[in-house]
Amino acid sequence: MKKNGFTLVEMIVTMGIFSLLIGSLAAVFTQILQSQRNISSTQELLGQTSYALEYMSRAIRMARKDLDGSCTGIVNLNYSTTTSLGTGIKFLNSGSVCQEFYLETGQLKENEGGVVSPLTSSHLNVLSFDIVDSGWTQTDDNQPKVTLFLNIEGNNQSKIKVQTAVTQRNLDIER
Amino acid sequence: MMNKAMPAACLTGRQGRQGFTLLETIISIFIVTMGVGAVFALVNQTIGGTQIISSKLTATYLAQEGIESIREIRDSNFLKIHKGVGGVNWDANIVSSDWQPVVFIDGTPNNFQRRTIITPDGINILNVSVEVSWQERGGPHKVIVQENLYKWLQ
Repeated sequence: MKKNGFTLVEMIVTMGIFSLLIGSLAAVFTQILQSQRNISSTQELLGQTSYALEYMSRAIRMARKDLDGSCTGIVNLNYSTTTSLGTGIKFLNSGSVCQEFYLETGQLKENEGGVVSPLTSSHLNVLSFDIVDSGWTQTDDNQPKVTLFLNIEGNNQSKIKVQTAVTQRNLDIER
Repeated sequence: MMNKAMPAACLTGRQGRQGFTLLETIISIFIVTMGVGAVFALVNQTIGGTQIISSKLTATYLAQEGIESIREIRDSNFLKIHKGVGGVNWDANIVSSDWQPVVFIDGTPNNFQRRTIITPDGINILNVSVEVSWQERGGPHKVIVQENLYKWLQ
């Protein structure tokens, strides 16, 4: 008699191979989806880190000497650190407006002449914002330099640590 | 009648080959494996690329830190000259440094190394080149940033 259809063994072997193949493909696919999500998170993190750091660097670089001490609290001081909300830095910006950058509940914020706005989105968690001062007073014969460090955590385990330094462009000549 | 009308390659009703030969199976498995493997390798490379890009951003800012430190020395020299402190040249204390581990100000460890190369370009220009290198995913990576510093103070 002529054989029609498949035998049970053929069927089992075929299904075994098929499910192995589909299973591995599905695993690869879910892995790809997860990676894609991680990469998107990293992209967002890098974009925001770069924005915040560039924005702060520019303002800090162009800062003016605080001749009457109304911003930094001390006459002729270029920068001062603040701790009222979280680590922060305060200075008179190029438009002679008192500007402050500070960390508050995982978010970097700026206060420019009383107007508060965030520099990083609420998706990100800024773990630390550290500042090191160098030559901020005018009597030390050194040009003011600000070293900034950021440790930021994004979604899907993305995280980054960045550190840079900014030297004030206006020469710190004694007044 | 039906069988005779069908092409010879059709599997049904043939007396000889039924199913696949071993060779056919091996080739098809090989092709499928190659396909899935290639996709996986691509994904893996993309993940690696993302990590390296993260480090590259950090390295670029570290290189900028190097440049700004040299600029700070030059500007401090300018301040001393302007104030009348004797014996200070505009390029005093600006020297090349060999590979040194980068120190994060919060004290956390990292695997970045940095060096600075100062090359005078005439008497009024210093060419500053800062290199930051690190090891990641089994290979070395490097970022180089260059800047010219000028003696603009008379």
